[in-house]
Amino acid sequence: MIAVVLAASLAAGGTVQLELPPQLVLEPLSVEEVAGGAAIPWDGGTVPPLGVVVRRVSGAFRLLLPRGVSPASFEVRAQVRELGNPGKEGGRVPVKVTVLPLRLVESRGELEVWEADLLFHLDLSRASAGTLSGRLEVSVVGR
Amino acid sequence: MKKATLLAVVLALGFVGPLFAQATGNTSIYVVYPRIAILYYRSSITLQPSASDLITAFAGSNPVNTGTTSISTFTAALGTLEGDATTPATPFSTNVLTTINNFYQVRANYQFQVIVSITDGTLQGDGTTGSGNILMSNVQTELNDSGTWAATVQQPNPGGLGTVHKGDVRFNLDFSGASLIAPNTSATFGDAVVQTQVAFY
Repeated sequence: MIAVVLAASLAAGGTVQLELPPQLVLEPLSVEEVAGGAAIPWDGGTVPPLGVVVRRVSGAFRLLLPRGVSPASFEVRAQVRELGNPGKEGGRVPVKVTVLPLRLVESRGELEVWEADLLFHLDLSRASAGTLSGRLEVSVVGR
Repeated sequence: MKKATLLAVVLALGFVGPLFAQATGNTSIYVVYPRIAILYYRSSITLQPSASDLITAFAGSNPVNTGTTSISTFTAALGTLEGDATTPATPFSTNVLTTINNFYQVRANYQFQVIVSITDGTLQGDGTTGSGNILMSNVQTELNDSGTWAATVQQPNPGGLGTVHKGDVRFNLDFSGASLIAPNTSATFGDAVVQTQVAFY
């Protein structure tokens, strides 16, 4: 049924578009966020683990659907590839990306614009200080 | 930063099984990761060397190595020491090299150095069990059991925050001005301060 709806909209000349910003720059991290402080009293045992770094990017991408096509007709996936220090192979940052639910933000004629936030969970244990760069890939697949 | 990519990809239809559609877009992503160093430090440590270790140390052959202990108070069985030390006390070493392993630990994502210094080098007798003082001097540190001791040591390859660097500290203790107050068989001397500082270089 979903496929029928999609086919109908495309047959009518509608397009489905994915829009991404030119670039995403996540907010800088702080030592307080990672470890609670720069100098931590400690009892001599195993040092406490690092905190998980999470960044939320509002309106990270937009999906333009023909009017009447539900975003539930699609599965949206996002992943970050090769995030790390430029030129340093050993410092790759594993990233888990969570796509939050799409929300309708505006209508443009026959198109409806849906927007979603992304949550980035960063494992920075092997990265060095500096500007880390990588590629965000978002894919939308018809169910 | 390289120029961004803006992608607007139109659905592509497949013809395998049910009607299939897919759109994929890429964009550059950047994370600003500032220099971060985290120092885990011991706020209080108590040294409690055995009398036999002290005797050997005073004789100049076996530095006291406490392994896991500290500085805020010091308790030693000097009464026992006095009796046993009469024979081997030549030459008598007033400066006992004292090593504290695992004194601090550091995580860092940029090359760093550790500087140790004595802020207060006097372990004062408590006036009840001990009088006079024990003097601390010549503090040094080493990282990751490197064997290189200095007041300032450097780590050029920190390996990221997931790597923990262990720091040991050693210093001299001069017992020549310390004595017990009778009838106690041990005495407490306390409240010296060693400062550990981590900085980028």
